Amino acid sequence: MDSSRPRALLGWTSQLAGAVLLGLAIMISGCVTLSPERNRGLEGHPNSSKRRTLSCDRSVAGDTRTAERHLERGRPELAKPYIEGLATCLEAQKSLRYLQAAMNVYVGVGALNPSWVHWQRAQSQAIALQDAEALAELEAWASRFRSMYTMLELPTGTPSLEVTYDGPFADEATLRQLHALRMGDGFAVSEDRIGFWLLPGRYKFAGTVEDLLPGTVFQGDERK
Amino acid sequence: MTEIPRLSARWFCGLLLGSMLFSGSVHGADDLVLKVVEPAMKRTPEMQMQSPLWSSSRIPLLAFELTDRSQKTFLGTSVFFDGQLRSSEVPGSSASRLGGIGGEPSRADSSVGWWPGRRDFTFIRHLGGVELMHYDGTVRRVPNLPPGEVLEASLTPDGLALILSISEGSGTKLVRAPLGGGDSVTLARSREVLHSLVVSADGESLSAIATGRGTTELMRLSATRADQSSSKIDVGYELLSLAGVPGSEGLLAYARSLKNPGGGYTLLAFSTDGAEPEVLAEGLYLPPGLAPAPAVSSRTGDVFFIKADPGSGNPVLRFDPSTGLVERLALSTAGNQEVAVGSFADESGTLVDWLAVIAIGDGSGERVVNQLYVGPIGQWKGWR
Repeated sequence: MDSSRPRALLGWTSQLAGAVLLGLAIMISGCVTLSPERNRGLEGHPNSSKRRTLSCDRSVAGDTRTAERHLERGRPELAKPYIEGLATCLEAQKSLRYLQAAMNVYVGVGALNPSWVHWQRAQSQAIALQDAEALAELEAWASRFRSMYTMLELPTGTPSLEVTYDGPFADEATLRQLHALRMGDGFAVSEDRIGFWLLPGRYKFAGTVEDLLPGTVFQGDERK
Repeated sequence: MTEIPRLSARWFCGLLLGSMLFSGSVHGADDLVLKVVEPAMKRTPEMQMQSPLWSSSRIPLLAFELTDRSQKTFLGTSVFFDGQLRSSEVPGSSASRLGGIGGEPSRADSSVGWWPGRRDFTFIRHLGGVELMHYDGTVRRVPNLPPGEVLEASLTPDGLALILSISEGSGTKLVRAPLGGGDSVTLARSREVLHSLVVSADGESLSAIATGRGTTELMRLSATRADQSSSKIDVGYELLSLAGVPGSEGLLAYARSLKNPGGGYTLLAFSTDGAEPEVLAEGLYLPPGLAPAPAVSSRTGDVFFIKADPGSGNPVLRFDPSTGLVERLALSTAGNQEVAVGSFADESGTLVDWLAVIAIGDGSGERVVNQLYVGPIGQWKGWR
């Protein structure tokens, strides 16, 4: 009897199983890599040191280009996952092109504070690179942004300020900014002050009604 | 209720007297310094400005329309504050579906209706559809409106409800839509187009023009409930636009005579009792297209209008019902097209009328397109 036949069959089967497993591993890895949200895992920990040192699994240039293309076609919602997918990538945080795309994508989806945070990062990067052209572009962008929205400024650590929209027709975008304010999701104005962008309009601050005009800064602590 | 016929009669007599006194009666030029409003957006040589409308806020603030060569119409606002005349533009809708697919929408923003005593307003936006919007520094869509295409919107004086003219099928309906929730009330339906809505000062009654094929009628009805007894009055004129007389139930109307359609435009006064209208002025000029509402000062009741007299640049006249005088205002503008007036309190709390004039050119022969000029009639700190 040829006892080598079952052994050969066993060996062949295990080789096949190994190949299948290897294939699956490659496919899974490939699928994960194809998803723009691969790098999102630590988004909830903005101060995590891991976040700052993570390398990127994806092409910063490629995903930034894809995001820009969606943006050009007026589809910031589709561009957002590509921007978010690179949020933990140090290389992206050093890329002026990525940061500028992020500014525009976030403002496109109505997330004003994240948009401004990326503008601040882009400005720091442009200064570090001594890129005068980029700095001029960023200043022009900020000027347009400031002229369209209104900033609420508070001392850092201020207990939540009661702010409600007092106009006749509250919409989702307005409420989203107020939610960010309640959650403290703003941006640093200086060491001891925090800012929040709001859509201009009529607001009630702890019982006092104020018309917040485009292009103005409102000192919230003076109204408390 | 009896005040209006008396007032109208005084206007009528005043006009006769004024007509006799008019020759050469020119308002002191020292008091009238109009400045051109430069829109915030980049202006092209073809850009025309039209339809100025003053707010009733605390500071001199007005809205106006800008139309470019491709017939896109934008809204701008201008305010005189801290010694400066500043302009801004009502932004487009980034949420527009047409914009979202990269289309080049033909945008038209028009029909501003100021919120009483505030610096926000409603307007109608044509952008792939017709929507009623609200602007207080941000454009927001007015939600939960009855079905149909909004033709015109007017706020009740207490700011608690919108009165809407809505096109539906083969006619128009007038709807009262409460802002704090609650059901809308259909006030009236008509086969004609209902427009030029005027809500009375007490918010109880509503006036409108019903324009059908070759006919116009003045319509009076309740502004609060469905009214089967609404009246339509054929006044013997083609009615074009309406304005309320401040502090009363009276109305002013721009109209055209049916007997002499080529004879220019007429300013009519209506009392509350629906009696025959009184002719306040004839031979007036109105711009092509939708007629603006008659300009009447809420401070004095003075009425401002433009005389159709191309030879002297279509002068702006002021009719003062308290003295009966008609004055020609000494303006630096020529080829006047539209006039609007608003009343605002200065630093001492004294009300001052502000004028807005659409005129062709600036008198120097340059920029011969419709331009907007504004200025106070009288002293105003920081204006000169």
